[in-house]
Amino acid sequence: MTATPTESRANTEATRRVAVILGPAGGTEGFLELLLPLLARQPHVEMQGVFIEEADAQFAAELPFVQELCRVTFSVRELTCDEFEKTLALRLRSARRALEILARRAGVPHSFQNVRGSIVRLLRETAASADMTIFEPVRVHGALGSRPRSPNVLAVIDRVGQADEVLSAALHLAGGRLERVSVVCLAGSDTERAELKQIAFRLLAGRSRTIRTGRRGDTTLLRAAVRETGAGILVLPASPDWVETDALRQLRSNLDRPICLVRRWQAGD
Amino acid sequence: MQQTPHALPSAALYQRCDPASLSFDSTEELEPLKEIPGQQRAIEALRFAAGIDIDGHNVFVLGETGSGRHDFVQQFLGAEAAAQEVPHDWVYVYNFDDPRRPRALALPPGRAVNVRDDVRQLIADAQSALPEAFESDDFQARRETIAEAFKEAQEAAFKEVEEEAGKHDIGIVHTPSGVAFVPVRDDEALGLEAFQKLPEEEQKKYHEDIERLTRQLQHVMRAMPKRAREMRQQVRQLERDVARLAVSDLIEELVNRYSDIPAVVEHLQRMQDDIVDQAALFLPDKEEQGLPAAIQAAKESAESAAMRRYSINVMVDRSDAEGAPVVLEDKPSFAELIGRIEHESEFGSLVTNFGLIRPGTLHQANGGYLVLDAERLLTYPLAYDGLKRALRTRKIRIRSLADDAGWLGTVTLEPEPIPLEVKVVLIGERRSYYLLQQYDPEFSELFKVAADFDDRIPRNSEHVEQLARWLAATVRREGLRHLDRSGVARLVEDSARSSGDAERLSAGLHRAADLVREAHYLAGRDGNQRIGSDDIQAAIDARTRRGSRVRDRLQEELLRGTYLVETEGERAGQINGLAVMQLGDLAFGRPQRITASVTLGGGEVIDIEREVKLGGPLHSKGVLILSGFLRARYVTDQPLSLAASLVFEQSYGGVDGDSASAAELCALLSALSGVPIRQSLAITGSVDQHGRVQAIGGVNEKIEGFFDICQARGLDGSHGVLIPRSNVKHLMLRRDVVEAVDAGRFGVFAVDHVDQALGLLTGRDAGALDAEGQFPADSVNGLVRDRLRDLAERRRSFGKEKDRDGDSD
Repeated sequence: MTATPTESRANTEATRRVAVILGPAGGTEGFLELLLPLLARQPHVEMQGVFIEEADAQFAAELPFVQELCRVTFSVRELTCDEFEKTLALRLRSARRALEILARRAGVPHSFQNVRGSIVRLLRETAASADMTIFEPVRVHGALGSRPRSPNVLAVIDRVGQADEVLSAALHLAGGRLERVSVVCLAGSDTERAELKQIAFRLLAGRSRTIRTGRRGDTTLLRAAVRETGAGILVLPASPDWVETDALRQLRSNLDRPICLVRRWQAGD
Repeated sequence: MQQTPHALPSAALYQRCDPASLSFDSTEELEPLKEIPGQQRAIEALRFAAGIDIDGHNVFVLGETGSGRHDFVQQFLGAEAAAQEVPHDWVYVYNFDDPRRPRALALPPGRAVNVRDDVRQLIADAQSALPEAFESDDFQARRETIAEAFKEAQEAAFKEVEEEAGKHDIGIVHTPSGVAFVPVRDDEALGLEAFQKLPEEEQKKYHEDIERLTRQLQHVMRAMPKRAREMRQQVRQLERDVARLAVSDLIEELVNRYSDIPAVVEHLQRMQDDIVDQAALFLPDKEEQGLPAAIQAAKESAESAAMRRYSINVMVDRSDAEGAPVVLEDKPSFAELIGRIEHESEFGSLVTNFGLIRPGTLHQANGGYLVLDAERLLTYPLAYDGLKRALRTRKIRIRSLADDAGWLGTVTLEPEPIPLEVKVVLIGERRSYYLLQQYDPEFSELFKVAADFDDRIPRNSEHVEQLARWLAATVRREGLRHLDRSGVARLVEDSARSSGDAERLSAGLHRAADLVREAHYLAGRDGNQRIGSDDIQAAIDARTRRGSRVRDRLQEELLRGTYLVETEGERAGQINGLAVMQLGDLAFGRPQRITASVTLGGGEVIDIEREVKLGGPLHSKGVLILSGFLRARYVTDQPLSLAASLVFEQSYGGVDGDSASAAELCALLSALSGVPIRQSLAITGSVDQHGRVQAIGGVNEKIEGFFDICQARGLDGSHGVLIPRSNVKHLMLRRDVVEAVDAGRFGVFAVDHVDQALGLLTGRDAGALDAEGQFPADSVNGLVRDRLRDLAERRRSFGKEKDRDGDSD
């Protein structure tokens, strides 16, 4: 179906929903700081904070012999349901407060919800319903795993139809500074690769830091690119290759950086 | 019998300098004198001190103010220093081993500023080069590679445990504070209910596996800090390598440029190592980005941390020096001499760094000469102590005054002491020199050479010529008119008068120089090409007029009869003495009426001035001598039975000196004898116990003081002044006094003994002892003795009556 000009304008001006996926690991404020350039530049955006309580963790807490290994002190301690719930409630409040502060600073409306269940299912549902979904990094190793926040952004384009959306979002996350954006083109064919590169050149006016190419779904290449460009955030298209497969989970486990899934983000905005 | 002396001829009253006796027409012909006339002893001492290179041979130049010592010492030392080598430059640099003790480096003269500027440029270049190097993609990628390798190693270890867990149907879940293991079936974690449905054996196995895996994961995670430390070390080494690469060329260029100065080369090499370690100083401070604008602006205006740490603080720069330095410090405070450490206010705190070390005069004079005013030095707290410590240790150790005195407990810097090679010349008064010698044992050790400038020098042809050449030097240096021979002659006469001695010249050259300057102005006003005697005289008169307000008021009150001084008639027990008042530059004589009264008493001569504490010790001594004179001369066989009192009438200030003792004795003898004294005469001089009249000071001013009042009232030939004969050589009287003497209207009489004075003052023979030891009955002395005997007899009679009255009681 072809949209009329009026419908197109209406789409352009429609409010876009940004979902921010938060977990119980804490340290949310630092992560949210990275989103400020994105939100502060967008007038028609509403933010939804989603605090996910993983059901598996709840099950673990119910078992009397399961112990928790602290990520800060590496000590082993009892994991009880009461203790688990109490800590979870504290983290929930902290995350909510951090999100409120960000929304106030960015001047965007926001909502907050916490959901409990299978994390894979919850992530897929959220990513499918939001225009942009941003995942808090998974932190396993506490202070040792943290690194200075970098303003550089790595954008991944793997579909011609979604490239504009992804690059536009990446540019916003980089505060409008083209030189901070690097691009990885993951293509299924040489033709597609050339097209993707052309789009990247056109949209970034040839001022991108680097443009790399690879085959579609190559997470190893992505990890190397993140390392080489010093990217602080990874921007992916909300394509089935990422949402419907285990690739996203793997990336989240292996990259302690926020990941931004873009379903719709008009370049003209 | 003493001969009554005649009035002195006018030739004895003024030793003229005959212009014809001078070998030149004007000072223009003369070679300027670089030294001070007649001060050979002091000049030799200075030359000796300047030449000797042994500890403690610093100099104290002593003499009276206005003797030209300051100018001469600077001039002399300037000439000595010009032939000597230019000493080192000195700088302070950061001490990489101990930042609290900045290092002092000696550099060849004139190089310090170059080194400072080059290092500043180096730091500025490094401030560009290092951020560029650290922001480069290559560096970022290498650092990321190191971090990633660490992370991969962590993840691999983690993954190993995760895979091991998977083999046993166990999964890892993230809890709010860490991780935990949970039983899994069909990719779903088992809750408590599902778990309890498992066979007991299976439950037990899960239990054991999860406990084992938890310990295994704990072991993996505990190894992480060590790995992280290794990773940081690798990153650090990478940063060091990059920093070294970025600055090595810059440093090497300077090392080559200053290869002839090992100290600079060593410092640059240390600086390179430090820059490599402290590369963060050259990178933008990300934390500052969020600071308020005002604070950011303040920080941007302040010198950067890198510039502060590596810059060169030039303490002594001898770029323009020729020869050794000669430094005159006219404010010799502790800080000005030794140097100081300044502080800056930074957000309410006082902070300092080696760039705030400021040099003192000792730094500037190091390798040369330092000239100080002794009295000023002694007035500044701890300045003299600080100077002595520097001289004793031969080091300049900069410490704050508060720190030195133990008043300050805050942490400050302790700059490395700088070796000191300086010759200190203190210029001061004699009193200061002798007090220091007496009360400060260290003074003699540190100031072994005394350059003693005479106050007066013999008036001979050699010194007259030297004075003329000195005047020639002065007029040339200051661009004044030259003096013709009459002008020089008049200045010679004025110099003799200033010295208070016709046979001496004053060493106070400031007065001569000032008179020449003022005469230069007057000569110009009158259209004279050269300064002649009239111009000098006009300058002297003008100067006298300017300073004579008090003298004129006193004269006025004498003439109006407010102050009673009689200048005609005769009066027993009253005489005109003479005093000198010094007000600023002007000294003038003042006639002083002295009276004596005598009654029966126990032999005391009461000095009223002493009784009311207006008399000084010398005056009291003079009065006490009178008692001795009376006993020895008149009543050797009887007790002295008088009560005499002596008063300086209408004197309301202090009196000191014994120059009125001759006048007091004459007044006392007049009172005893009843023989009146001629009030048209005045007398000055001291006496000894035998009646000999001795020299006093200020004879010219005293004669002129009495002359002025007599002249104002009308000179009739009876007026005159009696002076000690030993003062005749000091006479340099004013021209109008000399002319009055020439015309027979005023007289100056030189006396040796009080009998001669009595003869002149009373017009009667004083009386000499005959062969039987008796004075003539009608002589003054005879009358005195008779009166004293009479008093003694009456005292004896009075005593007997008293005894009788006592017995009858």
